[in-house]
Amino acid sequence: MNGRSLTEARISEGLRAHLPQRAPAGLRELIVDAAETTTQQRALRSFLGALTEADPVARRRSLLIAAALLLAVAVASAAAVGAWRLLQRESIDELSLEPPDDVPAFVLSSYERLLQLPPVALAWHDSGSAKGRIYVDRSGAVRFDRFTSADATEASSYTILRGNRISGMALVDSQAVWVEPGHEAVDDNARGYIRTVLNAGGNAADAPGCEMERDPSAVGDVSAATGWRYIGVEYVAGRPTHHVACAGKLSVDTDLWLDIETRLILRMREPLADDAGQPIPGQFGTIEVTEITFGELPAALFEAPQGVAHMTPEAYSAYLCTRDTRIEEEVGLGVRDCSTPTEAEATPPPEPSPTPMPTALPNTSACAVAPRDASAPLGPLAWTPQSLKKDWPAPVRSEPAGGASVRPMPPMYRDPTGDNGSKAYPCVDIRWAMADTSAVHLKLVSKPPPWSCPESRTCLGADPTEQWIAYGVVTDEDRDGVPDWRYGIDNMPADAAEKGPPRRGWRTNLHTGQTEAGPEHGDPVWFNGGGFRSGLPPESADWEPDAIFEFGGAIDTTQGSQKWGFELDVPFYAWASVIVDGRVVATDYAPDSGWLVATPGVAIKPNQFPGGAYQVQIEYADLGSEPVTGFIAQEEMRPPIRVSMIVPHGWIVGGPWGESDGNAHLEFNVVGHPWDGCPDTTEPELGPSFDDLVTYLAELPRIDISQSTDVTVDGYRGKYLRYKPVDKWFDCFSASPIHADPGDNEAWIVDVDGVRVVIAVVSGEPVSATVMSEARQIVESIHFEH
Amino acid sequence: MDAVTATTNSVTSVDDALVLRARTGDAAAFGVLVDSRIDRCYRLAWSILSNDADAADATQDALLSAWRQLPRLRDPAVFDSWLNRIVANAALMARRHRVRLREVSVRPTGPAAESPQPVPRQDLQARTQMDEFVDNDAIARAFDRLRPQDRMILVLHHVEERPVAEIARSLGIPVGTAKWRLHAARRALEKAMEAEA
Repeated sequence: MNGRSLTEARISEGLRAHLPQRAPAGLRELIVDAAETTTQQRALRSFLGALTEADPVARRRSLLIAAALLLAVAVASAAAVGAWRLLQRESIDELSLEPPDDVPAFVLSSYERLLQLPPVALAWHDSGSAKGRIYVDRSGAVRFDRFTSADATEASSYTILRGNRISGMALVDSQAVWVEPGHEAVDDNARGYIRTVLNAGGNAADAPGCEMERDPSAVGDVSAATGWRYIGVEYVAGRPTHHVACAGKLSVDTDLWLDIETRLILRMREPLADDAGQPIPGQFGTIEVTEITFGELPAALFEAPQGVAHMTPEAYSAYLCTRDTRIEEEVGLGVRDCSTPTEAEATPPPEPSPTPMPTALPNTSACAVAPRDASAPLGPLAWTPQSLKKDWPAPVRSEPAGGASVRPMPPMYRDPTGDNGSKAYPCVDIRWAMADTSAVHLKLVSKPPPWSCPESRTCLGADPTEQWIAYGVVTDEDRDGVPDWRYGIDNMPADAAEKGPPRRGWRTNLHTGQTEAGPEHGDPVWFNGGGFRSGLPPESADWEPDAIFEFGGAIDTTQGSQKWGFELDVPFYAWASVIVDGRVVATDYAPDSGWLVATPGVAIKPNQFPGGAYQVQIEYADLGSEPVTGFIAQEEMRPPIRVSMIVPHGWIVGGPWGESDGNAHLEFNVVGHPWDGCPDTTEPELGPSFDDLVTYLAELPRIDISQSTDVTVDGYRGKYLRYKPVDKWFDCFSASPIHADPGDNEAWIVDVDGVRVVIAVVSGEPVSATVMSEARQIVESIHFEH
Repeated sequence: MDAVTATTNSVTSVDDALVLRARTGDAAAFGVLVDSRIDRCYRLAWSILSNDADAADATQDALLSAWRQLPRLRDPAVFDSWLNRIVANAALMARRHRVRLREVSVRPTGPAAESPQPVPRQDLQARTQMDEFVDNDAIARAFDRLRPQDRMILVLHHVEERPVAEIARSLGIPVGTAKWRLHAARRALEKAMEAEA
């Protein structure tokens, strides 16, 4: 900065010079022309219209008023009609048997409504011999019962998903045991998994126009589900359904019967295909709900049964690895770790429930460049720079005769570490893989070493002349257990003479050996008629992937959302290798045996935290007693408070927040004096001490505190508060000392050596019991560094 | 009431009228609203996406989304903060869609880049044009290293000169938090400039 300080004027000047001055020519006309042909969404008349208010602040205020009115109406109704009916059933819209005005929207709502499914018990069977039961409780926990035969009356085993926790009862050598697998489901709304059982959309869901949900990352996607046709009203399990159909990949209709009230799939029929993938005329597979009962369920259904032995996840995993157990009979989502087989415990002793432990995060040290690990085995490939154009590294994993198991995975699969054949190259030791039907993300034990290449400031990874590092995915397109395609990226310039991105992308047909690289080397890599793109993020935190492979998705264009690539709905495994002096010195596969397959409808969430230690830093200043009107001077800043905590798997860290009102999160703040008080409140006045804050909140007429309990957080005294905002609270929203959403709120205020730290659970919507429980666990794990 | 306030109120009332007309389906009124805001929306989207094509797409998505939802906006006075929020969300969604693929946006080197338009200042004597260019370049490179939320709040404050209260409403955060984030973003910019140096 030429020795000059950074003033506000200079920031403005620099940014104005950097940012585009004008929007592209023609964009305005494009937008206005489109507006003229686009129908506006009209608000509902009267008071209800306020609930659809577009401005979120106004909507929250309206929701608060609506909640109060609805409560009054509900109480009156309960007195007149009987409160028990309200407890038995969710309030529902008035049912109409008229055809839906918007069939695609109706079909898409089947997924959206599923996530709010009220307590229910249902039984289903398919056109084969499989049958099952599903229970959903009010918190959203789901229990999936399995039966050994169509005639069986008692479930042989079951899996319970509560938030992203998995537990259940399994049979081990014909003995019932209670297990809580070490892996976890990623989607914290377990109701979403019901579709994987009822097989929403079957094969058709893969076909354009036959989707059952919008791609959440595709802004403005209007093509989803437009292929569904309306057939008529039919009754299934005694309930009215809308029957819809869509011609999927086989050009034969898949039919769905969607419950009009809940949108639950009550029946699905899809065409059967032969080994060549061609439809068998007149033959269909069906799944049908035969019984369905709404209402509260006994809590015992979702708890460990009395008198049943507990089995550790490790022992259960080891048992599965010794068996050819069908994945449907397993507790969990079919993820097995068979890399270090151990003896199964035939009669496992009862054990207490495992206590979640923080994940030890490894150092992010890079792979050593030298010296070489002399004990590391040499791989089968030999490479020389001269063979750059024809060598595409990575050995293919040997496969057992007769194929291998395929494990439906939640987005995350945890791979054992220290299994890449060399401790010297942890940058190819895979820690975890996440996948959905469009992408695979890999996390490594350590990042590749940085490579300084002044030609490009974004240059990454190791210098290929010292270490040749490659990552990739192998797929089994025809599901026969034999690998078909190998996709890879490496740190090699596409052309040694070029100074382009130090990266190649390619795919190899493992049957013919033919390799094709993208028409433009580098990143992303595109192939004609399909393709993939991949990348090594320039900076990745401990919870972010180190390598990404995208196989399909949607691109927003001025003509709407355009799909590209293909869905990764086939078995795959991930690999990573490092080559030194022309030889493969370390390789890791995830998994080491068997295949993974992504679960349709379960998507990778950006910034999803794998679980473990996390730290936030609260910055604050000593602002005196005058309200702050502009920038805070540097001399007013105080040393930040660092807050370390253990965050469970499945939480998102790092933000950005505020994208969705339903995005519950923990907010950390320091309450100063006095400008952090309500600006329009003269009484009470917020004083400077912790006790002043407690008194202030207790006397503040804008919140109603139902519980105020003395607590300690990391040894510091504090208060745990449960409270609700009352009317006009939001007049104070702009600078409130404590967050308040409509409904119940929870917060902790902690006196950290005289600094008032507020930790609040923030969400624009009611927080589920599971999320709230995890939030409390996070707070209990807090450690302050001050 | 002084003259400045009167002018501001007048502009606001005209815009309010346009919002009210657009809310009833008047596309021409919406066009006038777009005319005066499209550049700002585009800059805001660009600040998050750093890419011309993506920023144009996000701007288009956001303004069309605003048009569709306009009848549900009851208070015309919050139109700007509401629109900023839609633009920011559209851009963040687009960025999320790109996941973390490394992309380098190459901007054409035109006359403007080679000889930046001088900005009127009172202390020109103390700064040469080369100083200014170097400063601006350092700020630009540092800005590109920031998190999207930091870029967004800096642009809203320093380029669009939106009041903190409106920024808070745009981002859906309390005013106090907005001030903190603005402060933190500025510090992040300073650190990024040190790293770039």
